Formats: sequence, structure tokens, C-alpha cells
Amino acid sequence: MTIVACLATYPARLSQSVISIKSLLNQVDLLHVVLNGYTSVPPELEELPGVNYIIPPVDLRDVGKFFPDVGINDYVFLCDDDILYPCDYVERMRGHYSVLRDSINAEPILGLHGVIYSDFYDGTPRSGRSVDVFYRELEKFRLVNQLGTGTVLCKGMQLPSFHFMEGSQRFVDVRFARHALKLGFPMVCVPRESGWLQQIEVDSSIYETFTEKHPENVVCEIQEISGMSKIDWEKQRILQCI
Amino acid sequence: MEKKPNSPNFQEVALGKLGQSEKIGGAWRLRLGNITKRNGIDAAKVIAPEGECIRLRLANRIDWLRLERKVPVSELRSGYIRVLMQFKIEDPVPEDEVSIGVIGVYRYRNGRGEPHAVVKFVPQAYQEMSNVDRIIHIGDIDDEAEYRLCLSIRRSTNIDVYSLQLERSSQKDYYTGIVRDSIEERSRYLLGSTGTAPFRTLKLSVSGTLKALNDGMDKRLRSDPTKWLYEMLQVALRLEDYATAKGLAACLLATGTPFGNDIAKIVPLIVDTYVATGDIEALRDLCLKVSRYNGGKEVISKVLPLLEDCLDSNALSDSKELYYLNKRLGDTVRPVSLLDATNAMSGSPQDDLVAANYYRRVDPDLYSRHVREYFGSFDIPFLPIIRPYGENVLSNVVFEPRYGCAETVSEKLEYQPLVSIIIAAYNCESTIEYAIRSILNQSYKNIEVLVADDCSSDSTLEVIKGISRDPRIKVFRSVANQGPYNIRNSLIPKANGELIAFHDADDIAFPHRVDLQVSTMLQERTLVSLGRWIRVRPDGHFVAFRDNVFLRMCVNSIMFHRLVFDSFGPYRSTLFGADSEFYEKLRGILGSSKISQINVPGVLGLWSDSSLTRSPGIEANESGYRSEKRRCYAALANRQRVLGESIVPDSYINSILSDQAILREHSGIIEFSDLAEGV
Repeated sequence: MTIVACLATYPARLSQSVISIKSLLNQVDLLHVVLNGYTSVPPELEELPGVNYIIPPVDLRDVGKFFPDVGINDYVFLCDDDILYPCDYVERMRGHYSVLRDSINAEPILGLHGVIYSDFYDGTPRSGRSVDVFYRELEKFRLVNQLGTGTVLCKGMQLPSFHFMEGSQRFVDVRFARHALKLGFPMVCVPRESGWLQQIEVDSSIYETFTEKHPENVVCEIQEISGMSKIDWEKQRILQCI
Repeated sequence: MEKKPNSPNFQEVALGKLGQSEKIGGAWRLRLGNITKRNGIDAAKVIAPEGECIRLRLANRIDWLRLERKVPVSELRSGYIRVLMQFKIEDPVPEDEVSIGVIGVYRYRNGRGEPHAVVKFVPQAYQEMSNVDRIIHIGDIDDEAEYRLCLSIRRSTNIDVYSLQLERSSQKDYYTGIVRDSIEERSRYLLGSTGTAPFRTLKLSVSGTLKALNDGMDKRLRSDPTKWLYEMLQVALRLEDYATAKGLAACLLATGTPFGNDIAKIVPLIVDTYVATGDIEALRDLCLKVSRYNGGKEVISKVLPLLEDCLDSNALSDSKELYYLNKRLGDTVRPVSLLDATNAMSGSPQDDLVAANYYRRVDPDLYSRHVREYFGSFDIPFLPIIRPYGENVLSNVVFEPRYGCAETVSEKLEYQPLVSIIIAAYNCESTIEYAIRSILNQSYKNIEVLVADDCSSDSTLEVIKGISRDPRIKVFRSVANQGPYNIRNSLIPKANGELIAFHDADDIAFPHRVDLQVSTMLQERTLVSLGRWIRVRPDGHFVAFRDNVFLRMCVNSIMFHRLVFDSFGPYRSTLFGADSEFYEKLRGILGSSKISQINVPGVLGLWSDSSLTRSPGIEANESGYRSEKRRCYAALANRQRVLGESIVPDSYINSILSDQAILREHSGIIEFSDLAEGV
């Protein structure tokens, strides 16, 4: 059972990606890094041991993290290039996974950045969403409609195919959530203290530039996953007791 | 005033003191008003050549300006006046300005003027020619008063008036103008709102609540999740989205119980959800669970008869609610008691229908009397005589004019538009004749009837042919069976009427139905009207729904100006439910002020097993149960209505409806003109 991390980055994020990768290196067995927009592995990254660099033929943007092949039984950590992961990140997340799987009798997908949408979500900025931001405290496990794919743990067999994710650049979280709902994998936001994960400063992130107002096609996709009504509340009741 | 669009020859006219009117050329006078503190300012220059255009230039200190010309009373007696003006303004109008001025007829008494019949106007753009072409209703004229055509402008607007005149008009043009203006205004508004969900731009019934729920979601869900969920459940039920409602109910039961003081509010909503979805097990579990909570037993006591109702058990419900008691009165198997009947009495006119239902099997004469008493409680000109005999009581209904009320309301109106009434008929050989005759017997005479047989397998078409000698009837047949809404979409373009209405092939229209709808629409200046109906079983039992109400809104009775259909149609090509979707759409777009509700009985609706609402798999019954197909369609249509077509596209809806076998393919329609001539 291999512990794998997948991450995608691009040249403007070189300095941040070095920090992010270094924070993950010693916690995983294998780290895949998809280098969008690169023609060769830059020296700053080449010197980092044990990383599998992939230069895709086209810029895959954030879909790139779904590009590498993984084993169906692997523990897969989907990561972002602008997050500093603590040294106990993998261990704690795996611990949560074992506890949850036994408690709710289902294969969960875990994460730290959870979103619950309104049952009648219309895409208006700062409206119709309840968000558990990854660097803020959360006391209890919380079932959600969608998890941010920069802080997700799942098994290899729970990952969607790259083909399914294609075309969802800049809204991979939504597409991934659709996959999870369709296959019955509950998405769970895990409890943590404030600042356990930290954002590395960037000029802009997809979160800021894109998620302010979703384009209409994305709002359409969100309809499939949105709402308190789509959450399994019997499972949530169990999670409240953990 | 003569029109002269190209560089007219203006002359300057000096002004007098503020507050007085100054003659400026021809029959025109200029009146200025200033309610600021500054006085004695030469506030405007009016350049008014004789008989030609007027150029008005205002300084900031003028609050309003009125250009006036006396109008002889004789010019106003037609009741409807067309006001025409061509003008151009020199300055851009601020975005928040609704209008820059008012034009119309003012009435002057004792030197004081007030608006009598006016319209506001807004220029299309500044420095471009704009037009006002509106018809105004003059109303009653006072021979002692003086009337003036006035153009009033406010604030610092510089305007060139090229022509300004009055013409006689008619109620027909007036009403058509209102319809056009309303539709144009709403269409312009909708175009401007593109990209925003309709619930944020239109005044839908859920608009305020949904906006508050969405905009405050994060904060409210953390601070008071039970309240947020309860309000969202209300929205889901109002939008008939029972799948969402069920999920929200599950959430409430998992997280919000035992509900505290809100138990009496929340539990009935959850009950409604489970009844609509037919989830009897969940309803039973709910009863057991809630009965353990503080106040739960009282709430559940209202639910238990419903559970028995849903389970169709042999146990007699002891509920005193009218719905259950009335249902027992209509039961053909279990005994009927006078106690049941008296327990259902509430002191309202509905008591007569309950009494009629009791007497139906015991005393037919008393049945008929109570039926007449009930309908007599409404201010309607025709009362039905119904005898509880035969296979279908509607086959033998006759109407009597009420004493002193035989006239139609619309006879007094100058304008009596042609009304086209469309009837789609499928396998209704035993009802189509009385349905059509009830339309032909309307007190309103200016009608045509378009009847289409939807490839019936029984003798429906022969029956239609048998009564088609009446020149008002046109007979059609579908090329292939296509459902009632494809028929409507095909027949409306073939209809000649300015107003379009519909009638079901197994219902009876009161003779006053069309008259009341037409006259109300013209008097209230609305674009759509909707009547009320009572559902009655073939054996004569009157049906109350679970809200204890007999008289209900009849979506089938909708009447609208044909421009409404041209602008906002067509009906979706489904087997059922498209009339509700279209009505809700109109309600959202036009607003309730443009829709008249006729709150008296206009139709007797047959409630039989052959009706679409009673057909297996597509039921919508009086207990509140909705079949899965109906729930699916209603949820999609309402979701589209509040979120918009860009978020819930028609292609998505139609693909799901197609999977559910609800969509019907359009096949076309053939007219049987030979049949109409009796050949």
C-alpha cells in the first residue's frame, strides 16, 4: 500500500512549489509533480530527491494533479503548490481515514477545505455557500458537497479518470465532487486546529481569481452536487459523535 | 403642432413672473413652478415660434415646467385619447431616473390643476428623436371643469418638442396598447437582467426568502441551522421540489430534533413532504419519533388520520377536519353518518357542499338544494342545477339565470374582443359533447371554439362531428397522438381571437365564465385571467382537498391576450403539467398585478378515474400525493423558473422528461372544414 502525493505547478510558482514539495517529501513514498509550462525540470526541483516529474504535452493546469497513474489501493494525497503541509499531515489524515471508514461503513474522501452549497445555488459571489477554509479551525467532522483538491486524501480506486476530469480546468473541485457523489463516496471535512496547514503567499490563486463568480457552465455542474439535501445525514449524525 | 424635424426656425419669447402662466404662441401657455428658496430668477428661456416647434431650456432652479393647451370637452368624450409627441432632449438622463416627464390631460377647477389621465415618458436616448404614442383612458368628464393637454417636465431638462397632438381612440386600441407596453417593458427588463438568477430580479413568491437564505447561508447555517433548514424546506415545498425537500427533512430530523418551540411549524412541512412522495414508512417513523417530543403528540394527532388515509386502512378516522369527514361522506363502502356531516360544518358556505355530499345518497332534492345554496353564496349570474343521478352528474347539469342577473358584464363594454377557446379531446366520447355545449352556451357571444381530436380510439371524433354544425366551431385532428399542449401550440396560431382560452374535454363551464374573465381583464387592464373550479365526482360527490378547500384555482381556465403567448410561449410539449409551468412563468415575468383572479366558480371539473390527474403513474390526488413523474417535472420547471435557463437549460429538462416518457412529439394538426359544414 503506497502513499502517493500528486501536485501540479507552473513556472511562476517555482519558489512556492519548492516549499510545498519539500513539506511533503518525507511523508510520502512517491511524489508526482506535473510541470505545466515547463520544457525541462528546473534545477531547484531537480535537486529534490525521490520526486517523479512529469512534463505534460499541453498545459493541464490544475487538472494535472489527476494525470499521474496510481495504484487502486494507494493512499493518494492531492496537493497544491501553494500550501505548506505540516510534518504530521499524512499520518493524521491516514488516521482519520481509518476511523471514518469503520464508523460510517463507507469509503470516504477526506479533505480540509469543504464547501456546502445552497440547495438553490445561483452562482452569485459570496452567496449560497458555507465554506470550511483549510487553514481555519474545525471542531468536528463535517460532511460536505465538495472538497478542495489541494488538501484531499482518497484511495487510488476512488480517483476519477483523467478523461473524466478533462475540461474542468479551474473548477476541478466541482468535477471531482460530481464523481464522488455519483459513486457514493461521502466527502468529509476533517477537524483540525487553526493554522495546521498554511497558505504560502502567492500573487494570485485560482481560488481568488476564479471562485469569486462561477461561470454559468460551472454553476450548471454545481447543481448536481449542491445542497444540504444531498448529504447523508445519518452518517453526519455518526460523525458528530466521533 | 406641426412636425418639423429639421432645424426649425425658433423665436425667443420673454418670460413673466414665476407661478403665473405665460402665453407663448398659438393656444399654448407656459406655467413654471419653483419650490426652492431662490426667487426672482430668470430661470428659463422659452423659444416658441408660432405654430411650430417649441424649444424649452431650463436652468437648475426650475423644479418643473408645464406646457398647456386647452382641450374642448367634446374631444374627450370618446373615453380614449391617443397622445402623440415627438421630442428630443439635449442632456443625458441620469440612470436612476424613471421618467423625465408626464404628458396627458389635466383637469382644472378653481384655477388648480390635477392630473386626470396621464402617462410618463422616457426618452430612448438624448440628442435623438423620441416618440410618445400612448392611449389614455379619460374616464368620466365633468362639464364644469376645464381640461388641458399638458406636457410636464421636471428639473433641468432641455427639450425640443417637434409635435404634440391628441387623437380620438378606442377601448380596443387602449387595451392593446396596455398589453403591448406591458410586454415590451417586461421583455426589456428581462433582457437587462440576463446573467442574474430570476429570483433576484423578479418578484417571485420565494424571492425574498431565497435571497436571504443564500446570501446569509454561511453565517446562519453555523449559528441557527434548524431555522435555516426549516426556511429552505419551505422554499423547496413551494417550488414542488420534493426530492430536495426530502433531503432537507432528513437533515432536520438528524440535526434539529426535537425542534423545541418550532415543532408545530416544522413537523407539518415534513409531513407534507412525505405525503407528496408517498413515503408512508417515513411518515409512520415520523409519528413515532415526534410523539416522544414535548408538544409532539398534539402535532402528530393531526397527522395520524392522514397516515390512515394513506394506508387506506379500514379503521375509521376520528379526525374532525373537513377533508377527512368529507372523504368519509364520499366513501361508497363504509357507512355514512349524520354525525360525520355535522362534525365537518364550520359555519362557512362550504357547509352546503358538505350537506349536499351527505344528502347525495339519502335525499336527492336536498342535495340539489344545498348545491344551489352553495353556488348562490357567490355573486354569479348563473346557478347550476345538479341532480345526483346517472353515471355522470355533469351530463345533466343545467344552469338557471339568477333573478336580475341575466345580463352579461361585458355587454356594457365598448370593446368585446373575439375569444378563441381551444379544447383538446382524447378518448372522451362520454363527456366531450357536454363540454363543448357548455362553451357554446356562454353568455358572452363573441367566441370561436377550436376542438382537436388527438387521435382517439373511441368515438370522440364522431361526437364532435355531430355537434359541429354551429358556425363557431372549427374541428381539427392531430396527425398522430401528441398530447394537449402540442395541440394548444398548433391551434393558437390558427385562432382568430385577440384573447385565447382553454377548456377541458370533461368539464363544464358556467355560462358566465368567459364573460367574467373578459370583462375583468378589460376593466382591470390585465393581460391574463384565471378562474376557479369545484371538482366533482361522476356520482356527484364534491371533492375537498387536504387543505379543507373545495373552490380552487383552475389553471385550465387561463385566458390571455395572444401577444402574451407570442412573447412568452410556447407550452412545453408534455403530456401533463405544462399549463402550470406556463402560468407560473407568466406570474414571474408579468407580476401578479397583470393577472386577474376571478374568485367565483367558473368551471365544474370532473374528478374521475379517466382524468389525467387520477391516471396511474401520473397522479396528483387530493391528499397531496404527487407521482414521481409529476414531482420530477414540477421540480425541474420551478428550478428553472427561479435560477434561470442558463443554469437549468431547456435541453437538460427535456432530456430528463424524455427519459421519464413525459415529452410528447409534435405531429401537426389537420382542419376538418368539411365536417364543420355538416358534409
